[in-house]
Amino acid sequence: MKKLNYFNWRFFLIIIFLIASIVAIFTRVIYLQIDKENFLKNWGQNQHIAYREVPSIRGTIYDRNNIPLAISLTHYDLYALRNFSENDYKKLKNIISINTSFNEISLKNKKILIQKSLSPEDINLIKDSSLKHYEIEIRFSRHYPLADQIAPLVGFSGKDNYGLEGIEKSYNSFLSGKDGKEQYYKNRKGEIISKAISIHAQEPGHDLHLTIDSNIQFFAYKKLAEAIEETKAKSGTAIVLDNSSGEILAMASYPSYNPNNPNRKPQKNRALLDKYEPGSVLKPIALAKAIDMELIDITDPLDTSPGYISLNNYSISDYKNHGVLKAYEIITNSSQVGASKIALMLGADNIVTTYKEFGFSKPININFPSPTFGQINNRENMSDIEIANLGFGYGLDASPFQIASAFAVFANEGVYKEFSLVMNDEYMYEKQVISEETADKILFALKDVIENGSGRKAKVPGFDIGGKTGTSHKSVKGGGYAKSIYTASFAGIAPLGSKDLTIFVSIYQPGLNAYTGGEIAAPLFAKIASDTLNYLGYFESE
Amino acid sequence: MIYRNNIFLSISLVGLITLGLIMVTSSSIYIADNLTGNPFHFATRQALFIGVGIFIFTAFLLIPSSFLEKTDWLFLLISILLLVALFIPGIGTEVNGSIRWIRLGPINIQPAEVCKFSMILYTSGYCVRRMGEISTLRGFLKPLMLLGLVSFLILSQPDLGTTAIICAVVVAILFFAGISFFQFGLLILLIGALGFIAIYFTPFRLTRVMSFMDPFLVQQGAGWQLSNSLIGIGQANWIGLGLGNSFQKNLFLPEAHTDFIFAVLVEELGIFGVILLISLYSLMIFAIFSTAIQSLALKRFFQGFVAFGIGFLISIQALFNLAVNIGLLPTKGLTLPFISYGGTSIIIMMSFIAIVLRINNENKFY
Repeated sequence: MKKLNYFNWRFFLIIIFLIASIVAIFTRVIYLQIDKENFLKNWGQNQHIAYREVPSIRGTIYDRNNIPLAISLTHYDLYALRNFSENDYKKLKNIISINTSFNEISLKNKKILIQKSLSPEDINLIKDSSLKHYEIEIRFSRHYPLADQIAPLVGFSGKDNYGLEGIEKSYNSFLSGKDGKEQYYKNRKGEIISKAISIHAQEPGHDLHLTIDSNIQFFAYKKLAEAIEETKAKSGTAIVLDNSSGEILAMASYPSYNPNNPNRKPQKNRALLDKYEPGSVLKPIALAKAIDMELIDITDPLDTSPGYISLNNYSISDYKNHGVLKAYEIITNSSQVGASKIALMLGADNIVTTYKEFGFSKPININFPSPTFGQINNRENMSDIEIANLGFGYGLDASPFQIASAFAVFANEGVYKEFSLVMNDEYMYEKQVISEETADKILFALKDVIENGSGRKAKVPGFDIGGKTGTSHKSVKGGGYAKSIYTASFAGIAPLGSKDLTIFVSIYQPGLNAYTGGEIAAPLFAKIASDTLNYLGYFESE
Repeated sequence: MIYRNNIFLSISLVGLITLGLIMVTSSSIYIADNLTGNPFHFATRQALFIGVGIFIFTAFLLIPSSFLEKTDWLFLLISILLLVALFIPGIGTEVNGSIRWIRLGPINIQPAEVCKFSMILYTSGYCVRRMGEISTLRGFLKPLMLLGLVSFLILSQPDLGTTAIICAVVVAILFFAGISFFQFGLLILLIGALGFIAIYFTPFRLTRVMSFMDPFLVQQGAGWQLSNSLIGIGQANWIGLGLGNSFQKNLFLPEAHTDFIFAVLVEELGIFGVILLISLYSLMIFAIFSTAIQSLALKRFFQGFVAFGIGFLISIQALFNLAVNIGLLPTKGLTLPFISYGGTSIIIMMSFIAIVLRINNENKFY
């Protein structure tokens, strides 16, 4: 072997150049690995990784018997991705029938809806085919099986599954689940090239169980709607309460709307959002307090002659001179003079306190969007006329639900309860506000209203019931009372034996000559009570 | 030593071709699927090219190097004719705005690749024939004019990368053969000036150079290739993402199987992959240079220069390609020898190794 004598400096220079280049390249490759702040790695991840929301299903709203009031339906929608070709379209057309033409799809750079709500068979056919460039996406829609019967209470949620009205709105965070998030890898065209990796799974929303009984709700709504149409009234509400459990069984409001119609025009929940001066329907409350304080007993005489009373230059009058009435007959005959005298007997402080104890002017414990709760006149040094007004239900305003809750005190042996709308509500306020005997005495008076007084039309054949009519004038701005606008109401307890139900109905602005509680609200009460009692399986007492 | 060179050359050749075929398969899979619907389109073709390459490789093993010395002008003539043929409409095939291929039935030939081959042979032959006058101005100007002609032809394709490689190799052979330092410096200056003009007065080259400065500034435009190459390399670390797991080959990196195959290699095989690649090249270059030195020692000057030219060409083209991939040089259309997809490229490279092996084995008998 010969010696390498041609290894000269020129060759040496070239070798040095090559080695230096290798070192430079190698250094650079290493340097790119330790790039500052992970610039390249982050840039790469932004480019490679995409995220997708996994929609969560909204909880169902049930009534007390697990009948759904609001349910989420799952739909599978077919979308064309960016490079969906005419070939793909033809393939798809061979698999399923589609209404969209290819021209509508072939818009570039977008995800285009091809077909809404695929059937399960179609989904399988598409998934088994060789079709590409499509995506099937889950969509949830909300359906309300009871539609207008309960719409003002349950409300509705919008397209994005966000509660917009009623219970759907106030319990939105409870009902809505948490959307999940998935990560996947994509190529430059944005096509998914990996299986989705779940970052956090979707959590379905909670189901909500209302205390509503959809059958009773149906009776209440149907009879209310009929009564309002019949009397050409503007609106109205009917509430059915279960006294012993403190639960709301029905809360109908009319006019209503169909929440399943995308063009719905929401109507307000009259039971929780209306407020007005209740009028005579509250007379038993003042009397109850007077009996409770032993200022008068249920059968004690009280002189209401000459049929009117003058206080602070205002005159309060009955429609006729009742003469000397037994205390309960003030309720039976709905005597303004008698109620005024009872109120004056109690004095301002007592009567205001009593109303407050019966729940008036206090926020209600129901989770509903902006419920109303009215106010009470409780200024210092009230004049006699103001005290008298409070005695027969003016000088304060309240929502129908508040009136119904207050009335339930007589059925609950003197205990004021907060009524709940949701099953197993944890904390519900309860307080003994009048004695049990007093409550019984008032029930006796309320029964007399039906037997002999203004509430004869509320009579339910075969059942003992008690109740009180009310006809209040609508107050208008600027003080005073509008002459021709009335709210007719009736609050009753049925049956008197078990004192299970409190039913309150009110009809706002009846259009005919018959406008009093006794004439139009009492029959409505009777219809609802009759249906409800029959449905609940009460035996007629005869 | 001859035996050792044979072993080294064989190991490195087989190693590089195998690695190349694996990387072409891996890096082209999505591009091929996207373009042709067959994910192995490029891989099958590359395997076919290697098969053809083995025949040509064997042929060059059988050709004595003295025959190449005698016919170097013929090779040069053929390649210049091929380069000129590109200008004839209907013969040259346009790809990405440049005419680099001649379509002959099912085969595409890249005349510039052939030109590398013939320029090495011719320059080496010239240096041997004019050994005495090479350091004079006249003897030096002749090959320079030839180089100018060839450069002009290749630049008009346009293909700056290959022009630069050919210039570098010719200058290196001349330098190795003994031109003076003054000549060498003049040459470098001249080529540098021409290169500057070529870049500065060609808008697309200028944007390439500008985007090379900060590819992420114009990521969606001119910087797309380089930035995506850097992103791929940046994902790698020591062992890479694993063979087949490159993200960037999902159509993010254009030319992932040709000019930017190194980026995919680093992304998938990591720094260890780089070490493997550079080791294989080093082994090959070592054996080639060893053969060159040995030939010169045996006074076989033509063989020595040819072997040196081949070794330098492979190393400089590989270095250029890597430098482009890692952002040390602006983007040029240069393949990575033995690794990148491309028929003409791999066949010419295999022929080179065959020639070196032939020279090495001829040395036994001197």
